[in-house]
Amino acid sequence: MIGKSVFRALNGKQEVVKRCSKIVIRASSTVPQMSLPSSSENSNPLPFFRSIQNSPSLHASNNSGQFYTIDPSIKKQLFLYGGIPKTFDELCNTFKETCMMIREPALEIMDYMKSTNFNNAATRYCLYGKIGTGKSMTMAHVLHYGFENSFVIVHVPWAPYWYKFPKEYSDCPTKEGMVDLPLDAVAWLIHFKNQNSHLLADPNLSVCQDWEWSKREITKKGAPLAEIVEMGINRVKYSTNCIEALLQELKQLSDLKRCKTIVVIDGFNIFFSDKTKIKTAAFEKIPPKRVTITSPFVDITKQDWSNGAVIVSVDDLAFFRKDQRNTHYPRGLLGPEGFEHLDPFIPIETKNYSEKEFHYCIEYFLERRWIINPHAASEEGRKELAFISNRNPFNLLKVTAPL
Amino acid sequence: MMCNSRYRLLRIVAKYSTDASNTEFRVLDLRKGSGESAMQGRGRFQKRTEGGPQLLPPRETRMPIDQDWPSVWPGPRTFHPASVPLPVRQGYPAKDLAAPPGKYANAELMKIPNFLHLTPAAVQRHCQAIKRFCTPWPSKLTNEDACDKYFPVQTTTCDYLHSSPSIRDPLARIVTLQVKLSSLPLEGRTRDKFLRLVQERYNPETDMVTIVVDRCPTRKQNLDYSHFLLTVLYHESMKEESWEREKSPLDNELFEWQTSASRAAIDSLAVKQKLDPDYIQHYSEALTNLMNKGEDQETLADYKERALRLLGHSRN
Repeated sequence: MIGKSVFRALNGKQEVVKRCSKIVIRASSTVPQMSLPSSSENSNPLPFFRSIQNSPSLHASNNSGQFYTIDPSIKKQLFLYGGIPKTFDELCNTFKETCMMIREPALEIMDYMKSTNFNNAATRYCLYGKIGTGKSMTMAHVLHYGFENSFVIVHVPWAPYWYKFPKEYSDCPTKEGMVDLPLDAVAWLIHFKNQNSHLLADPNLSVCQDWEWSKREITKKGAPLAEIVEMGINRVKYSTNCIEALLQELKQLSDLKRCKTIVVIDGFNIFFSDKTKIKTAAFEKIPPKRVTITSPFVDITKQDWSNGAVIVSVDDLAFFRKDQRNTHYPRGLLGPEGFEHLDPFIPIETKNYSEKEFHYCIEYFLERRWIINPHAASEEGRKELAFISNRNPFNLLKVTAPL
Repeated sequence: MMCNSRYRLLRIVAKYSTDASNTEFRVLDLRKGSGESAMQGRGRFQKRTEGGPQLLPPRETRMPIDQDWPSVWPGPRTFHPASVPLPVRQGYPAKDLAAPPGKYANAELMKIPNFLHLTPAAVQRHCQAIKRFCTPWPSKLTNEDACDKYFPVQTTTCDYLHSSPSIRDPLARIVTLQVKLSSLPLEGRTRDKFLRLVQERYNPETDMVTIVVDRCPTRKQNLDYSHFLLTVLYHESMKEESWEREKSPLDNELFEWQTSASRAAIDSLAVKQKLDPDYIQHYSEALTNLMNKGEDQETLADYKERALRLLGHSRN
């Protein structure tokens, strides 16, 4: 039984790989047209757990539970510097493809974004859920959607990295009592440049005001936005200032309808915690609000700009182990300050797999030969796996690893 | 040897006593197995026969069912098995499957206090005897609520008896004063202040304030002090100090929409985009519920629904 389906899938997969690559090459920054298969073929030449639709803009509830493939070039552009969880990335290397499940939370956010009135203030969506239920994956999916629809992407793959494993920190020369993370700021600018390379060439994205970095270095009004990015990358000293300028410019440009921005921040609750590993020159440990890189990203999640969307996630793992709050709800994780900042927002919950999603996931693992043990494929085996992992996506992955 | 000679003498006496000619004076012979039957074929060591002195059957077997029990057991008394016509069993059996030990020679039953002197019939007689010293129950106090209304303050004291040279007990001075908070005319700020003064002495489930006083040596003094405390608590709650107005939204126990930062955010948003005031109202209710009740599936789902409606989002 298993052999048959694998054989069929392999055959189908070969065909589809060709077809998929054709679709992607044709599409550039416009939404690709849905290529309907001819009436003589089956409605879906792929196995039932795979979606022929590889464009997030065209994902709908009938695709729920199915896996869609992300093209390697898109993956490289979007996720080179982070965005796909490490464990999942290793899995993708093992499977030689990046396949993500289309799930309800992502479909929901994309639905809201499709029907948003972009004249109104940018809505904040807050993803919350238990560990391993797919918050980062949902954000990756929405990021892909934003990329396809020509949003300027402001993406922080995992904000706590800055505060837990800072590359280098130094006292800020201009602001009293604040600490800079120059190398992390540069790394982020490189990430921004990589993700938005296709849009930075747009002549619409020009600076709205003069930015003075020092007596001799000024970015004049009307210069392309890419200049600020380059400035930050080349001059490490001004990297955080460049980020601030960049994000302020993006807010203004979005307001002026010259571009639309999507802000995606994972682990947002770290901005409102009270501890970091960063110290001042006097060895005093400081909270995130005294780190210069915090304020631009907190600022862009306010609702004082329009023509964009803000998707953040709150995770208990963002905190240091000792400070973890043992809750997955947004108010508990954001704290009163964070909640007040984000209010009003749309809380979106990520849950464990439903029965259908679980079934599709097992089928996918079987097809990819992640699960080889024949008992695991049987009815009883599946029930056992469902019970042991509680249908939690991450747990399922760990539990099936030795099988 | 000695007992042999004594024994011989007694035997002679016994024999003498059973002679038909001596019927006027019967000699009491308490020896077990005495008389001719016992001496048949017995050696030096006499075996005792079973039985012992013949006892009368226990009194309980001869008790009529309709007897007057308070007369049988008029006062507190250690358990006496033969006088109690009940097949009582008490204690743990030596073997697992056996029945608990019976009442005869049951030390456990004797150790514990029994209330056989306080059967309903006995209590009724006590009440009848005392009744002529009592005044009638007030007619208006028909239920608990009426009692609370007319007698809101409950005072509890405890008396101790000692069979020792002194009848005093220091614990007798303790006075407990209990009053329902709803019977005091406190509301809003005054109620909040009262509760802060009283702290853990208030039980929100029963709405009772309990004040225990034991700082004075006599009961009367403690009683007066407890009344004084109640008076002072009430009057202090009614007073408003100038520093009480310094209370900020951060100090609030419950989330208040009117003074909250969320309201300010909505107001600034309403300047830029059109927000339906009804939706704002619904949203504020959901938010207040979320903050005060706590976060859970239900309150969050409610908040989400109203936020979606407020911000104008819908699913296709």
